[in-house]
Amino acid sequence: MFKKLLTMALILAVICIPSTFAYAGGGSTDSNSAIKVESQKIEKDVQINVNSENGIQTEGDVILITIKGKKGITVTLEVYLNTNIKMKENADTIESILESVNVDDFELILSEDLELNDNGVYPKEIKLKKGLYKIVATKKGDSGYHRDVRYVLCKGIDDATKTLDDAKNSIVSPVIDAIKKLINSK
Amino acid sequence: MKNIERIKSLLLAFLVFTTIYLVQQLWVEFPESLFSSFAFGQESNEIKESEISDFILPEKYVINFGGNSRAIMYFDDGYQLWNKGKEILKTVFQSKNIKLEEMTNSDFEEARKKRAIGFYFSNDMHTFIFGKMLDLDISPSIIDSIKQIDSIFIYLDSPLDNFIVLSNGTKYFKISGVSFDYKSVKDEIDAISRSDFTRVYTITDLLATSDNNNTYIPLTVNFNLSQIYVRKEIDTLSEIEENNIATLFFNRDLAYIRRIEESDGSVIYVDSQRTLKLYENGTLEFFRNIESNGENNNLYLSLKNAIDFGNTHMGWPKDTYLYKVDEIEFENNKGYKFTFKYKLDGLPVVSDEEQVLNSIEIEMFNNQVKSYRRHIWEAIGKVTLKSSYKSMLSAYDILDRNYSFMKAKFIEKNNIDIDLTSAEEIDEKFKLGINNAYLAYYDNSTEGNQVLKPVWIIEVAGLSYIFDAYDGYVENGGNPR
Repeated sequence: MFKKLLTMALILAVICIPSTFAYAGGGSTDSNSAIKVESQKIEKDVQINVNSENGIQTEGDVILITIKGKKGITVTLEVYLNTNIKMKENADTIESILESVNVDDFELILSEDLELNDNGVYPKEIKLKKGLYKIVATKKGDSGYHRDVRYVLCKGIDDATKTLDDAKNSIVSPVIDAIKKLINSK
Repeated sequence: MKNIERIKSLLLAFLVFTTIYLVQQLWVEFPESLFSSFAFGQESNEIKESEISDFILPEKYVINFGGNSRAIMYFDDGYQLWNKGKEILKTVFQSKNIKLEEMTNSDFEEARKKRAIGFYFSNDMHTFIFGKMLDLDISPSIIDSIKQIDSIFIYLDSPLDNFIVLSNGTKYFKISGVSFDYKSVKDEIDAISRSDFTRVYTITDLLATSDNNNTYIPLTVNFNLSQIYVRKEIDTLSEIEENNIATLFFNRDLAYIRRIEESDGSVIYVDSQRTLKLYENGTLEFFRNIESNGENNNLYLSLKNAIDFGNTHMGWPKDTYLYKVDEIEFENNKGYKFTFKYKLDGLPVVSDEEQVLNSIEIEMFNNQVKSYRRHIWEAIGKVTLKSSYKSMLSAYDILDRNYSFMKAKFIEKNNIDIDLTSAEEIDEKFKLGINNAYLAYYDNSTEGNQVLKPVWIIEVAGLSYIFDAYDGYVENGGNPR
């Protein structure tokens, strides 16, 4: 009788625990893979801000790119996407990917010439697809040529799901093992 | 045979439960409105207290789906977020085992990335009164820590680690250690995440400030609001209606009341103790002498009595909320002034308060009503939006179009010496000064209109601006908040 009750409790735990973790996932990224995106900034005349904490996002996310500069300057915003990247398991940092990336694989997906208004900023939303994004803001003028570059890595939903599954299995496995032992000992 | 008896018993039980359900529908739900139309039953404290809870409504809701993905809602839109949030708050505040701790700014910054819903109120609310409005007593330890509340955040990241945060705009207090069921709120948030919601960003993200400004504003809006046709709630052309109102306020035969018609179209009713004035624009003012009853001013009792007075004196419009409480003084007596505002079609009705009242104001001394002022619009229809009509502007669009104008006002108000301060520094200060943006319906009846138009209210360092939500023009330029 006691064994039956214990088995029922364990089965219930198996049902409940995965749903808890699926919810806790919430689209956030693994803190171990968190990295700081280092800007390749040359001058502060033009600057790109991206509202992505570690530069790693998931497919379908919307990021906000804000170009900042002096009022009235003209800036060219270009967004490139490289879909030909290899995601290494547990080592997907932008730096590690950039080392192996082929420059020719970046495809221009957006190009805008814009003039910064009185507030000195230009915000733009972008809905992400899987791949590595290169965001370039270039200011051309009498005072010279200034450029800021940012990278954003967008993991596919399949990658994110795999990470989540791994996390789930690592916690659920001992419970399944315990159930198996109980059944076998019957 | 035994089976037949069992089926009969089940049938009988089913009929009994059906009867109980139908009787409950008939006697509990239906007659509630019926009873309220009669005078009896109003002495019950339960009815009065439950009514008080109707007077808190958030100004806006910010929903964080995790990370930096957030939605903003200026009206509930059928999700019942506030009603469901209130149930969670009641569970938390009634729990005996809470853990209360002040959060550092970095703790709160960290928590801002978690899955949560934030309720923002239009003004600071006394924590004690806030509890009373939830029909409970908030523990003294919470009241001592945070005397006023302007926003509440319910965190839903993990069922094992759920908590709430109370804020007065500058400090944040975390209440944890209480297990609460947030499934109903989570389901609504999931539904919103699947909808075409309005995304919102912080000023820091949108305007690229160096320091943090976590005021949320949308870059784009994906809905259009109509103008609303309105009419005065008091028909000042009808003497019969005016007399009916006077009877309500004086509660005696009008033969004993003097009626004076003024040249500006207003009408005054007066007796030895009381004065009622009905303005041509539909504003009502009532004053009376109050007797010294030996009672000390009590904030909760004053509020309760003010609400009761409103109940019996023309009632409360739908979606009325307590906007602010001021401490006042008259002939060395201290009292409270309660300002109630109301929403039409989900949004607050605003106006230039120096020119036209758009609220219900009640002054209380010794827990009695000293004065009562009200001006309310009744919605009678909406202006149909044509498909060819331009889209509504976002709060960002408004800021972008009016940036120089608002910055100039900011410089003037804060006495900033432009020769000694760099342009970048002024920009940064101005951007950090933006502390609120919300949608409302604007009453510009002073221009003879009886149409309320959707507007953006943007508040910067103590000044409040009203902008037309479609063309971005300034309706009202920088009145003190």
